[in-house]
Amino acid sequence: MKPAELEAELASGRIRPAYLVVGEEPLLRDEALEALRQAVLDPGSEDFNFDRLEGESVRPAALFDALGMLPVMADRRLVILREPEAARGGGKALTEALAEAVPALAGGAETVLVVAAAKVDRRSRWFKAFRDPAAEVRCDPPKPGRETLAFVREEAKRQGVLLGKGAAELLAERVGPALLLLRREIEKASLLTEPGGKVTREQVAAGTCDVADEPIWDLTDAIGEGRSADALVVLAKVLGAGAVPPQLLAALATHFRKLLRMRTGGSAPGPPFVVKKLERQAGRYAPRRLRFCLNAIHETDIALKGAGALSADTALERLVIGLSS
Amino acid sequence: MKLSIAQNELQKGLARIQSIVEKRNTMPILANALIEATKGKGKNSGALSLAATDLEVGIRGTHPATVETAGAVTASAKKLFEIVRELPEEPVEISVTSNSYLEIRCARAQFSLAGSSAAEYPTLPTFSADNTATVPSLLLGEMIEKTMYAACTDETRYNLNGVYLEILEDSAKLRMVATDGHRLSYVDRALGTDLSGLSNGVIIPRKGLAELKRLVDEDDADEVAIGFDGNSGVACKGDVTLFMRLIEGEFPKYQQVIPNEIKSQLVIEVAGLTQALRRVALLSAERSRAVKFELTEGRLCLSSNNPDLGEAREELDVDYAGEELSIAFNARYMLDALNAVRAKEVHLGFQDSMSPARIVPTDDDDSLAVVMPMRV
Repeated sequence: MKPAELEAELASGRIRPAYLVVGEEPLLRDEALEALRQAVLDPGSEDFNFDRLEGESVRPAALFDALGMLPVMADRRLVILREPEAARGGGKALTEALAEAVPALAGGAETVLVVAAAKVDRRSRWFKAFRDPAAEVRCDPPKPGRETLAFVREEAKRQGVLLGKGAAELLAERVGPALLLLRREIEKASLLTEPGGKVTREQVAAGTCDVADEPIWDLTDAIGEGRSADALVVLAKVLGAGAVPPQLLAALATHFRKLLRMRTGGSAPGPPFVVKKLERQAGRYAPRRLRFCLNAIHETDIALKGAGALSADTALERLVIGLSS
Repeated sequence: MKLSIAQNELQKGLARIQSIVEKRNTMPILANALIEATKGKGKNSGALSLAATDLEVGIRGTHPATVETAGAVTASAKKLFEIVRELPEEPVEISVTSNSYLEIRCARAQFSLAGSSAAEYPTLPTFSADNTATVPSLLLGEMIEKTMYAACTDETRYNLNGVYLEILEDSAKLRMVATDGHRLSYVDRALGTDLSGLSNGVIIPRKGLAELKRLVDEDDADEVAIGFDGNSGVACKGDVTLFMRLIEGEFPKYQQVIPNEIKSQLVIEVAGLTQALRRVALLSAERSRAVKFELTEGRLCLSSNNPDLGEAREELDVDYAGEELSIAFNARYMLDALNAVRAKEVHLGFQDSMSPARIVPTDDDDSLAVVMPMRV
């Protein structure tokens, strides 16, 4: 289930004996845990009915102790275990204990166990033990683009921040699907305008750093579509994010081999939208030009290995201009 | 800086600060002791002050010394203690060179220890004596002992990471309470002093409390002055001052988990129950350490069950004529509580099999322990 479905289920009064909150987006995980905490614990007695255990340091005995306690002055206890596989060796003793403890929770209504983790081994015995009594709450980050933009709009609405034309798009583009950071950037952007005023695209451009990860295909697409200026911007970002030049050259060579294959009557594997995109890009080049491009990539590779006088960044910039123009 | 001090006095001062100095090395200067020499009014009089802090807890002790030149420096508290501990019981001469090296001489031994400027050391807080109350050391030590075991060790639950201290206005008693959510302990004591200057409702962190206990256990003064101001606490005993940063948070409303309607109660000898509990706990499930208490007329039966090892059972004759009751507890929590009450006999009270147990010493109505039950 998604976090919103969890909230709806909790609002309807249904509380399960166990939950597995899994996903790499910490904001969604924290919000799911907070929703569970509010639904399970009675205010006033929560300090006596709540245990929070860290997988990195907790011993199985402490888990069983926490699960074995009876609630005090309340109907339920809540036990939150974070990152059960974080201990050395994958936390084998703890995960074995979890596999044993979770089925036993199915019959009782007094203790709610919540396991939260960024990643889990889905083949493990403990993960499978969660299938029956528990619900899995997926907290994956939204996809870049439409889903991230939807979050920006929703979050701005929640914070009461009015975003002017293009501001939401720029926030989503610059920050990417990092929700905690997006939340902070929206808060920050709201300070740049007077109360009740709209945050403009210019204010976002001036106040928000470009921290979103650029996938390598943004670079190959910009080159293939002949957008030289965009290609140089993406190249700088990709290099700034730590990509190594040989890796970039390999990606460019693969891309241009695909274009040459398609241009000479062959095919390239991939989903239909990728094939369509490659066909469109291949149409821009003559076969002879594509061979020339592959040769330029090869020469840049040799130059980067010590034969050239240019720095790696400059050699790559020259190549990108040559390939995209 | 140049001074001379008795070896045992210096060793005592350095021993006192060892538990305070920062061991995690997050700020290297915090592994040092701040050494300050001040000259007195008379010839050959003066004092050596030794201080340490980890920014949460700090301590400063002042010791008589013959100070020729006043000054201050910092040096590794551990290494200095190791050196001084091995010195013969003769006067120790300490001087500081221009590059902050400590020259230590005692009898025919000589050390040159690297130090650093005192200006780099964090400033220890100062405290007004107006906000303090003087309390007997012995009583304060007893109160800490009876409560500290129940404080929570999980650092994420910061509001439970210490002992809550409040003044009971109706009886002018001082109360200390601690809980980790699984057990609770409180003790009330009339200290026979004016407590009006004390701030009410503060949470003293575990580390600060452990240092306070160490301080009150020293046998050179009968009283200790304690005080709280904002988020700081202070305890002064003789020439030693202990500072601590108080926990900012709301202590839970603990009164509601103390069972008031006791339906089943018995008086039991602590030693007999403790020994039986230890024996039976040997075969409790390693995971939960659960021991079952079954009360029937004139008998308390303790039993445990470990699927991998077997079972244990022990019966105790008790003066009990109430309803039959079956309830389980984590043996460790029950043993901790029985050990901390330091009584010969206790009233062991139960409301029902799902509610916490109440332990009150028969000779002390002002202290109490509560242990939450487990699923049998």
